Amino acid sequence: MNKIILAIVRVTVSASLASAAFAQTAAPPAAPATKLFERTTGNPDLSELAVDTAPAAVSAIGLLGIAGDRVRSIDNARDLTMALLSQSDGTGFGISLTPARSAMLPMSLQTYHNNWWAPAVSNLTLAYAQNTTQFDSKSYAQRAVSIETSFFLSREDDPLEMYWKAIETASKVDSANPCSSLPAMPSAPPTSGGAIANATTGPVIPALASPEEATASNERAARCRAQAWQHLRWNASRAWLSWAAGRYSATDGTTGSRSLGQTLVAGITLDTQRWLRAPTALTVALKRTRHEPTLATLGDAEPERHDRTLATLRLAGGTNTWRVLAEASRTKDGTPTASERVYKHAVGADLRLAKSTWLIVRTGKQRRIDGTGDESGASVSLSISPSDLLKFE
Amino acid sequence: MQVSSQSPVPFQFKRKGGSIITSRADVWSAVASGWKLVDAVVFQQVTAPNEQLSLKLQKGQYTVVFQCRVEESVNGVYDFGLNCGASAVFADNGNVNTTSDPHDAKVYKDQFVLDVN
Repeated sequence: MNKIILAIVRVTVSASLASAAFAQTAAPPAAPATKLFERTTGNPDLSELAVDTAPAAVSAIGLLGIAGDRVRSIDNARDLTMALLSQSDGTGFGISLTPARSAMLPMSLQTYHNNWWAPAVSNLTLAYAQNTTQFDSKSYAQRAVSIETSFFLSREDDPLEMYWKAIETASKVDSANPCSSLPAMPSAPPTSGGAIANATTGPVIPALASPEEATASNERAARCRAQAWQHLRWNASRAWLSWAAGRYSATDGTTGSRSLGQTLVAGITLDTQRWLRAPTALTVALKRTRHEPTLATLGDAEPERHDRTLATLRLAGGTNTWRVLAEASRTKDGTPTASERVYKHAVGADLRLAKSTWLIVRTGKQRRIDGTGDESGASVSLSISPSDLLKFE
Repeated sequence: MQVSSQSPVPFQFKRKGGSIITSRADVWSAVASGWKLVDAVVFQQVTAPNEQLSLKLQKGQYTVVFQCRVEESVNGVYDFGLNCGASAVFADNGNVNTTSDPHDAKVYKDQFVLDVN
């Protein structure tokens, strides 16, 4: 049976595995267009390099389907306190903390640069989410935790390192290079003594530059970043790993606390330009879900549970603004859930319409939602990614 | 502030934290027409915790203009210090990450008198 599903607008933050436990009876969606390498902070230009890959990474926030505007990023202990105090209304919310990127457990620039493990640790993000959902006239409270990380395989592809290197290798006297600093004159004309002196002894906190000088410095730094990042590649080799687990219970107390299951996602994208002589990337990803309860049996004393394994292979080629790709997936369990309804074989194209907005076209063969075999399908979807996973800077 | 040193004058810049910290010190002498740039030390090895440079200067009095830029990178935490001769001249620390801008920055500009004897 051929079918075409048109114009599905998806917001990445709230979509990644939101269906894990509570959406198994949802209508068959188009093959999810998932973003694995994305940013939560960083230069907007970098988000345009996000590459569309395989099954989504998992997070506590995605597991419970928390909307992006209900998620607080924690930078210090005060943020954490405020986040918890402000959630007394019982609505769903999520908090995420990347310790090395925060003031709570900051990683130094030198540690990042000098240790092979530092980028993975630097991007390690912990998250907690809680929510309440309704099913079959019954209300369930859910809680989930997750841990995830991602990193570039080569330091030369890491935008942080690229920027630092541009500064370090800039000529100390080339004023035309925005990564070089410019000399500054004394703030007052020479006195008869030839210099300006006072009686203060150091060290002292130096005075701040004027707003005009600070603005000029910031503009110059922005030009330096643009120069340093002009060779960023969408197909840079990278890897990611994420794990999430949750629990649920009926709010009326008829069920005790039960597991929502656990999901582990691991993947790697390899730059294959060297072998294929074109800007291409090969992505391999594996998603393993254990003890996932089916929606219809949530209220049972012993809910029915599934273990699933989904492997995806994708070869993509193109530029920062368009890509063509071929993909294949294999699942060990015959009946796909909505969260795992990906194409068995497919070809497609991605076209960037605007900043962080991609038109995604796919056609191929996918498993029937009832598990009775395969069907041909096609989909056109619009992916909007306001925030991403991989922290570039 | 006034600092005395013999030539060559050693400059040392120390940095810590997850921010990009660059600085420079420009050495000026007073001339009839105003200021004349004599020499400069530039500290831009952002992955190095410590940089040391020295300047050969004629005896006399100079005004040294210090500039320092702190920019959020891995995070916004920073700590820096400038020594000239045997004196600790400037130092500061904190967290430059105060907004959602991923490139929060702080720019310093100050000066001191250097007596070379």
